[in-house]
Amino acid sequence: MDVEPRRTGFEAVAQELIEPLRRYLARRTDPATAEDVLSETLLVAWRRRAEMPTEPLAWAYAVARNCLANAERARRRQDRLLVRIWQVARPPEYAPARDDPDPALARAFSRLSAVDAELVRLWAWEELGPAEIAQVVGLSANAVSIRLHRARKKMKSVLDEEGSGHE
Amino acid sequence: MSDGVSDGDLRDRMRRADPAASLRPLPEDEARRLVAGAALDFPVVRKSYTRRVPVLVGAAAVVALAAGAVVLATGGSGHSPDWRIAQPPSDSSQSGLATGSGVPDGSGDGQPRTSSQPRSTSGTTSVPVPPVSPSPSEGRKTTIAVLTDGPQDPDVRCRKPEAAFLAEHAGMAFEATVLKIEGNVVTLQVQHAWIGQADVIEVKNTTASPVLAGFEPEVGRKYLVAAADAQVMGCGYSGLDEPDLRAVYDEAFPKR
Repeated sequence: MDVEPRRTGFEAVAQELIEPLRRYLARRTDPATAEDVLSETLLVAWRRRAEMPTEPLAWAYAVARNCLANAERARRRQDRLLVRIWQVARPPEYAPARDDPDPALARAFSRLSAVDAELVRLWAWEELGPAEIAQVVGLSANAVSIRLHRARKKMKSVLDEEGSGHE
Repeated sequence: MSDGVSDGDLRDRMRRADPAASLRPLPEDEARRLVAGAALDFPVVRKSYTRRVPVLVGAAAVVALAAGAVVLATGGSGHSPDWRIAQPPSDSSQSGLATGSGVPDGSGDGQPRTSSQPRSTSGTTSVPVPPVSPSPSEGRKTTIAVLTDGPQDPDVRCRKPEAAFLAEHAGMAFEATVLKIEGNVVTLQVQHAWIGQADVIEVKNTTASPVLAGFEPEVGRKYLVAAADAQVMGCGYSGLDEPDLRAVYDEAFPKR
């Protein structure tokens, strides 16, 4: 039997996780934070590799989600100072351009709770099923199904109301 | 229930607005660097940001033996390129040292350990690292590997190291000089890193033998050290800095 060289377990798995994790983070934070959090996520994954399931993607998203939450908390603390610096450095009328390809969609998202919005993202962007989403966010699969259904319904309703004309 | 927008429409619309749609895949070497950083147990961040910490690398000569069982079990001839399943060459042509096989007379369990298995905590004790010139360490240390000893399998031999194999498997690759050897910890100062970042690496020799991954470290001599999954690659992939071995490294990690 032709035996393939045994790639080191963690490295092989981590290499496969990098791109999905990068996309996950790119959808939720700025590039610099995404890069830092990706690194942190891999580190945590390494330390907790004994817990890594055979299908590690949802597990890895959950790790990334926690790491991102930690990074955001740290940044909010920093921002309290940075806001003051920003106000001094920029004229008050300056508003950074926000590249939003679909403002109506963004408004629909804004009507959801943070958790429900995340359920929708995980469904649409990460293409996870309810059981996997449940693993990421720490809810039961049943709860995810119900909340996801309601969240999508709410978003669709907002988009219908807006009649936004996006094809 | 919505009149006009279906679930499919919503998903399509979200995909069109996907912020990651234009994200280009990470170059392979960068991905490998990230994973190597994780296995070093410190976060690797932007390339412009240099975090240099001493790291402790476990010696993996021992793993060969665990893997030796794999060779036998699979009917292999011991000619596998996998550094895990073969001993260093007995003629020491790669390492330049002929002081041992690289595999101790271990008394461990001899079972292969995969990275997904919990490792023993017995080897996680850090040891002090002396200040290293010209860039003293920041004093932070992370232990990254614990290995098991196992029985020697005299039937397993190595192939000549191959650049492609090294490139595929190495998570770290350093050119480093031995600063000191204390007990079972060999401290090396890094002169060049092909993969990974460190000023100092520490290799914990768990083999109970002076031989480490097929070579016997000597203070002041320069070595090329590759590691996969925080374990030194033996079987001729790590050894004295000699032209043959360097050529393998240079081919495996071409300058960009």
